[in-house]
Amino acid sequence: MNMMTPFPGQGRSIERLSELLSRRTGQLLSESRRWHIETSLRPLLREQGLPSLDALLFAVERDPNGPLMRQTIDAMLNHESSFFRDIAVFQAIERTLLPRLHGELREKMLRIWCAGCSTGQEAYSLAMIIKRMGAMWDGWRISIQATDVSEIAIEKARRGVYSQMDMQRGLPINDLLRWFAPVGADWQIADEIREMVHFQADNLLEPRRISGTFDLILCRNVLFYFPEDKRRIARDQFARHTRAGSYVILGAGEMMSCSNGIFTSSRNLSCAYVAEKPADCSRLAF
Amino acid sequence: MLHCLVVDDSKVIRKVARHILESLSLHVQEAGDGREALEMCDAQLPDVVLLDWNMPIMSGLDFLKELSRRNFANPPKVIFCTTENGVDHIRAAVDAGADEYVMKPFDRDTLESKLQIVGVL
Repeated sequence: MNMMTPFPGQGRSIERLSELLSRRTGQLLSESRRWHIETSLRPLLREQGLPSLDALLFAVERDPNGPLMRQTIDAMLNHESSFFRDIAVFQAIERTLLPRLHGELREKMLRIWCAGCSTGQEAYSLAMIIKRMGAMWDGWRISIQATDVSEIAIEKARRGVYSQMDMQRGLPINDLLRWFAPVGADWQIADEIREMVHFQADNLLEPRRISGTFDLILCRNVLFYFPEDKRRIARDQFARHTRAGSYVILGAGEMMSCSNGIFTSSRNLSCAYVAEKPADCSRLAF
Repeated sequence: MLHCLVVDDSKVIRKVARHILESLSLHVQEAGDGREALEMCDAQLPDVVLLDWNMPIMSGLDFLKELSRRNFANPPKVIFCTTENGVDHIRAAVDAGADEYVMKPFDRDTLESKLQIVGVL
């Protein structure tokens, strides 16, 4: 028996499912996540009445553009997210980055992109921050675009309904009271916040629904699922969609190479980068 | 070391909370009701209070009212714990002076995020 195979006989299926995920999303399953693949897909197997990963693989390969393929890919993705995740980052956005952008943007238009927004908590956290900052944004056009490769996550984000457990993680009590209403055992975000964010299913590596440049891009806890070549593509997408002075914020512990001279790391926040935009942007890999 | 007072009439909840809080490097003291908690605050003011709502002798709400009457220069942050998620219930706690709330049962991540929100961590 191969000791590296978590489920004897399913090793090849796990390998092929991992390849499928990589082809569709660019994401690599780490060794530890491969061990959980059967657990992640078990509810789908049960729902579809399929006896094994082999049977699931056979079914999705027979209909590669069908709903089961989307559900399979989705079940293998990590949808972990929470409101104001890493509160120090959001404090820096509220106290430093947004006031600075407010002072710089003469046309009174602020564009933000949450790339890999999962189920929406991060994008809604930004919307709540802007509301909290109050009258200084009066008269501004504010656009928050939020994308994720998972259509199912985007549907949940658009609904803006969260469980009590979702609410517990990071959401300050005053934001809860101000922006959420109970719906049964869950909580619905206010339309005023929901309407500030435009959610779309899209792949960060080849975005089709994102255009123009942004003043602030958040792409947190996404890059570490990508191999190095895909990280470079992601970085080039950030370069394509920023202007000199834009910020890109990654997750804690994630790093972006500054060797191409397009981004420099911020002195204020360790996971933030500032776009410098040198003349040779035309050499980017897209 | 930051000092947290856990106020709950359930020994189990106090034990779970202590375990989590100590793992976050907080020094923990326990009280079984609001009256005992007030006496402990008078002796030594904690940095943060994790406060149950429904307790015998003195409830969480009455404890908060008594605490605010004392007009401490640096009052502790108060995170109240509840099993109810009604908006009216949460609003009453905020009006009485609570800084945050947490639903039971809670885990380490939840409690840590609440301590960050109130500025203790």
